[in-house]
Amino acid sequence: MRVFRALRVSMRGLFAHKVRTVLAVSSAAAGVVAVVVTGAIGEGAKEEVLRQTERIGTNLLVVRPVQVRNSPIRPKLKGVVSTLSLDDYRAIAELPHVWAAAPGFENSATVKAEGHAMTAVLLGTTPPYMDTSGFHLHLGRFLSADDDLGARRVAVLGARVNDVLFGGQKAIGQQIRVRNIPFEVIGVLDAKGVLADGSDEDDRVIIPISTALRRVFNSTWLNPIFISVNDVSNMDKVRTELAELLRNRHRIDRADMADDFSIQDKTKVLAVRKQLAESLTLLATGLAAASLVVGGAGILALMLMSVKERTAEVGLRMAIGAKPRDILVQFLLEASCIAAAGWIAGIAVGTSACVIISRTTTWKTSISPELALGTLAVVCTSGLIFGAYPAHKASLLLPIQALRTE
Amino acid sequence: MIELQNIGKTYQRPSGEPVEALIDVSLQIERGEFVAIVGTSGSGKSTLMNIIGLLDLPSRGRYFLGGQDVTTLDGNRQAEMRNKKIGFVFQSFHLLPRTTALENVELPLLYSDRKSIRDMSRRALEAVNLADRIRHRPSELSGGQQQRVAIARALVNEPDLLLADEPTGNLDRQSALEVVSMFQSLNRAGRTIVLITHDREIASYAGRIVKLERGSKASDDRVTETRVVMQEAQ
Amino acid sequence: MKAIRLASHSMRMMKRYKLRTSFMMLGSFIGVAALTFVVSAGQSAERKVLEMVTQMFGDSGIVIRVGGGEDVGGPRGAGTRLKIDDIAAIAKEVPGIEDWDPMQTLTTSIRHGDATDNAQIFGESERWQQVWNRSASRGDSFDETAVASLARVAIVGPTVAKELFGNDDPVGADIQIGAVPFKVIGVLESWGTDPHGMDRDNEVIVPITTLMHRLAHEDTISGAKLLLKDPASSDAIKVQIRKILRERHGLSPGQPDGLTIITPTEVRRMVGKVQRVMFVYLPLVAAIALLVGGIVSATLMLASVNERVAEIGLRRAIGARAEDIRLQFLMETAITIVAGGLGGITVGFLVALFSAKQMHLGNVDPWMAALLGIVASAVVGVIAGVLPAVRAARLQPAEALR
Repeated sequence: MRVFRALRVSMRGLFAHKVRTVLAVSSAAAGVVAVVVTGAIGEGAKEEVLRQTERIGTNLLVVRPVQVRNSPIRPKLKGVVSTLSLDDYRAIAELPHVWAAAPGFENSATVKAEGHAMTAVLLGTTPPYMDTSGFHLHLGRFLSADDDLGARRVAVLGARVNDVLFGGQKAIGQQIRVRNIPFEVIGVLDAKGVLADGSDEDDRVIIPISTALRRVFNSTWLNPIFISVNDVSNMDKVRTELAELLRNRHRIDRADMADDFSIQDKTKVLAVRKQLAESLTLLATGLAAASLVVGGAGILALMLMSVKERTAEVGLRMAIGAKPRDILVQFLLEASCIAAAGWIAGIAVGTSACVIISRTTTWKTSISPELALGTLAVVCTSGLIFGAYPAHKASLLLPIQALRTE
Repeated sequence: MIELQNIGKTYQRPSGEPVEALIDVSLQIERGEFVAIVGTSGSGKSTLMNIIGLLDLPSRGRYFLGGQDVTTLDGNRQAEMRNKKIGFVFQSFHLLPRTTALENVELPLLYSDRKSIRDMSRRALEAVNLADRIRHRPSELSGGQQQRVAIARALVNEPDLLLADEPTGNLDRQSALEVVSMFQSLNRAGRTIVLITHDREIASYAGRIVKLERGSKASDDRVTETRVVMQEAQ
Repeated sequence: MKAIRLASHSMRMMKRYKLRTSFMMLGSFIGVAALTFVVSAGQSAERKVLEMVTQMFGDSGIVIRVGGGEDVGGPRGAGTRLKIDDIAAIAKEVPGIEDWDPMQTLTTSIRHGDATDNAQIFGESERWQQVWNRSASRGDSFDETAVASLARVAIVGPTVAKELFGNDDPVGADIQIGAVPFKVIGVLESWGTDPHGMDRDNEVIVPITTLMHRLAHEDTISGAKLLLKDPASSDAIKVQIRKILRERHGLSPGQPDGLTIITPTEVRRMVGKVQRVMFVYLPLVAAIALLVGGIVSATLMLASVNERVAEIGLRRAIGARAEDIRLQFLMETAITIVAGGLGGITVGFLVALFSAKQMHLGNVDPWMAALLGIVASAVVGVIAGVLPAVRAARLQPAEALR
């Protein structure tokens, strides 16, 4: 009950000096708003940046057959093993966390059209390839499931192949000859240009995998299989499950037997992406901290001012029997009330601001419950800390000092 | 010198009701007079004083100071009048804390065009017998000493009119009499003095007593026999 | 002069009321410090983010490749035979080239003891690390002397190291590339797979001269990479490169040159997108910092002025005109803003510097932020510090004194 009485005293104290109370509350609120909004924006910006950078396939895994091990018996043997199959691919596509998977068979081939010829990279694959490669269609359409079922002779051209063979002419519907087999052009890809590692994907001609395996290359095995994982955090998990799956399917069940496949990711890109995410998070955190300090400083300054001005009031209270501890508690409670009120106001304003931001930009701003509670904890704590010093000063006043106005 | 015509002052209370502090007060004070305004609390004497001192504007009526209708003057001209023509001694002194007596006294001079400020302030403090305390701050002075600093400040710019609101309210008897004696000698030197007091004895040292009751003038009498303060032996 | 007198009086008063003056300065200080910190740290973070994104996507490089375009006639057709000097000439004649690296490649087997690995061998100049943004994660790379002397040194990729050496450290060991003995001097940084599914860790880098003369017996190169100073200029520079190369090889218009020049199209698009995000992010955050600083600033100033209404009333009672009050408060505000602002810039800058070091953000540049902060403080100061004072000055002295 003493708590309630103390609380009432403090509330009355706050209401008596309305202007200063309002100012102090707005200081605290400003700090909270800043934290909430910068936190949400920081998350939003980070998500956006990371989303944009997904296109280069940070979540890409590639499964390849390994090179044939040199055996002393057949030293001239070169090339890769032929154990990766379409069934493997279908099994892989069923794994959890796999966003998209596409089988592939890749080799160089001469492509001719209308008197032009060039050496291109021929890739047989299926529709999900678009999801693993980050390509966009420039014209026409990509391969369809029907194309694959029927092992049709249709092709999608890379930007440079289109330029060399057809110049500025319309390529869709035209005929090209791949290894002297006629194909119809159904689509053209957007140019990617040169990538970080110097690789270049605009020199491809993409055809259905069944067409590639049966009609062009006469093969039954794949090289490679492209896999896109749904989230960077699942990369390791998928990698492990993938390895297990293939070992099972290829009957590699003894520890001393080497894998006949290799799984790779884009190591460097992943590393840089991690750094990127960390930097952005740190920045947002730094800003949030700065905001809270600023808001807290406002509370401190105003509380100090308040104590100074109210020395007479404090002296009077002490003269009629308040103990130093009562004064301390009174001011501490006032500071806490200010902090709490500031938090409420700050959350309200901050939330509305976030709503406005997410309406006007494409960012997703999210205010996690942790953020809200976290700010409450911090604001109350800073209210107590920043209010403690002034409160302590107030409780040290002697009644006579206080009653003697300057 | 001072002519108040049908002065009325109405306040708005926070609840919205109007309060009539002054109702139709007319008053004339000649140059060189020593007037005491008396009344119980709530009679409107402080309000009247504020109007005379140009600290507040009346709600109704006209105020002529030195022949000029000062109620129609703009803010700056009024400030000028307060600086040059009026010296106001407040009941609660209103000295600037953390400021020396000398600096407090020279404050009006800062807003004037006068030149030798330091000298004038020093002389003013000497005139109120505080020459040895010019560097003291209000917190280091007694109530009586603070009052004298306030008087010195009111006089430093040599105004024609000296107004004092309960100048002896916080003083002990000896200090109070000293202050009244000072007023009397200032009056003899030609200054017009108007003061508010609730103390009949202090009022009796003036030349004229105006009594206010609930916002109106109740009486206005000349003092028949002016008493002079006897300087008691130190 | 009256104004000077009032000014020195104001300053004296400010010194007497140290706490109150400090509060007013605190407002300006906080506002400017917060803004300086946010904007400078933010700017360097933005720069760092763009740097990293560029790293991820691909730097501002143009790649020249022999072939990759139309096949005409024989293996290299009537097109150019690209030489190292050609690239050197381009780097000299075209402004805007930051660095360059020639390239020649062949695929062959590498042997160490009983182990063999088939890998791609790249011959490059001593500047390959900067140009390709890949480094030797263990050991060393070779310098220009090695290139000049056709040194037989090699930097092997992690896959090659694993195939040939298992878990042992390959640095210092001897290997055989084709028929030529080499010494391993370093291990390549792991890149993983490229979009073709090719293992970029199954590569070996040797000096280009060594590869050309000792391994491939060629005097031409298969391509080169050039780093640009300004990524936006890639299209223009592409045109210039082709012109110079055609001139140097005496090609007449219409004659195919058998060269492919690839610019980082997608890269620029991506970097542009990220830039736009940061473009919105930074000003938004700065605006918030400004707002918070402004509110706290205004708060402290308003509180100070509120306290002094009685003082203002007294001065008016004594004869101060409204403009005298305004002058006094303007002066006080100006001094507090400057003093607080200077302090704020210093602290904000130091904090930004400290955080930038922690986050490896690079250089920090506070001037824009500081300027913004001072202007903002001035605005806040006038609105929250001077205007209320002038309003109080307009009151009747009796009211103010109450």
